[in-house]
Amino acid sequence: MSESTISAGTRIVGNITATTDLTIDGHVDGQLSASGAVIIGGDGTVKSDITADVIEVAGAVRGDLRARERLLLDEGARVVGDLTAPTMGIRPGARVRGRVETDAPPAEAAPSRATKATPAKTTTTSTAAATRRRTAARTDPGEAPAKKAPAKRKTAPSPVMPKAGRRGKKAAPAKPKPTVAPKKTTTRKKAPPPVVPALKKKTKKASKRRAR
Amino acid sequence: MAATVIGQGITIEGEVTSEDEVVISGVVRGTLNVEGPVTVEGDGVVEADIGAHTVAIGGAVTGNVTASERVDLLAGGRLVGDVKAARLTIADGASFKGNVDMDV
Repeated sequence: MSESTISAGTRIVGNITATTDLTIDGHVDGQLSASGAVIIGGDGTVKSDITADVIEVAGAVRGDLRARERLLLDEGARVVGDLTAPTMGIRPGARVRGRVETDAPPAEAAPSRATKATPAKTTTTSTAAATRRRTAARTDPGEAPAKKAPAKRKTAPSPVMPKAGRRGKKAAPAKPKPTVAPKKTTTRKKAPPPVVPALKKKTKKASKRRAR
Repeated sequence: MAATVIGQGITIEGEVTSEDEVVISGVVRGTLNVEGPVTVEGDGVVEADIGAHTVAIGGAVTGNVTASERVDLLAGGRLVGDVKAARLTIADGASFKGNVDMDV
């Protein structure tokens, strides 16, 4: 059985159904349903709803993702759409805008193996808010406005917000590093807030996170 | 490898365009426009007009085939449709129904 790949120079407009694994590095615009794994590589751009057993995203998706088994957003993933899966992972550096639902009732005709989902994490934002966010998202997918902050704080604190995440990373290693500022007393646990004027907008939130 | 592979078990209904090589073992319905070579393998089923640089058909194709370079209908290949290409080879054991335009 050959492995299926939509390579970077390829563009498909229409419906794709797959009974095997499918890797997408090109562009797909339409519907995508698979009973295997769908892997969207870093160069892949998909403008469609995706239903599959396993979905892994490292590229860009605009559409709802529904996995019967699991869903993974890798570093660099950009997703505008709702995520549904019994269990999912969002790696630091992934960006999401949409409604997230884990441990949801499995998609229709889901295999029974999906029942072993993680019971702990069920995060659902209010539908109205989600809808509002989505409509906003549909209009401008490029940037990540502060609007999505409240939902994100519930799901995964730091890593999903790209800017905040980067700043967090910068701030964290500064604490233990003795080489940077050897004169500093060890009692000062926190590095001085590295707030730059350009980031003024996010200051309040960032400091809140730091306080935690 | 930069080829697009539409493997067995994959069905595409719509428009496929590519700058790379495309290999089809699955099913494609619609249109297929490729700047590189197209290979329809033994299991491949294409119900689409194909435009490409070169086309090699070992599977079943229903639709018109236009190639800027050449069309090879391989043994076991099956083509129903017109062919427009500068060069055309039909292997022993291939089946073909349609018109040929070799630009003479």
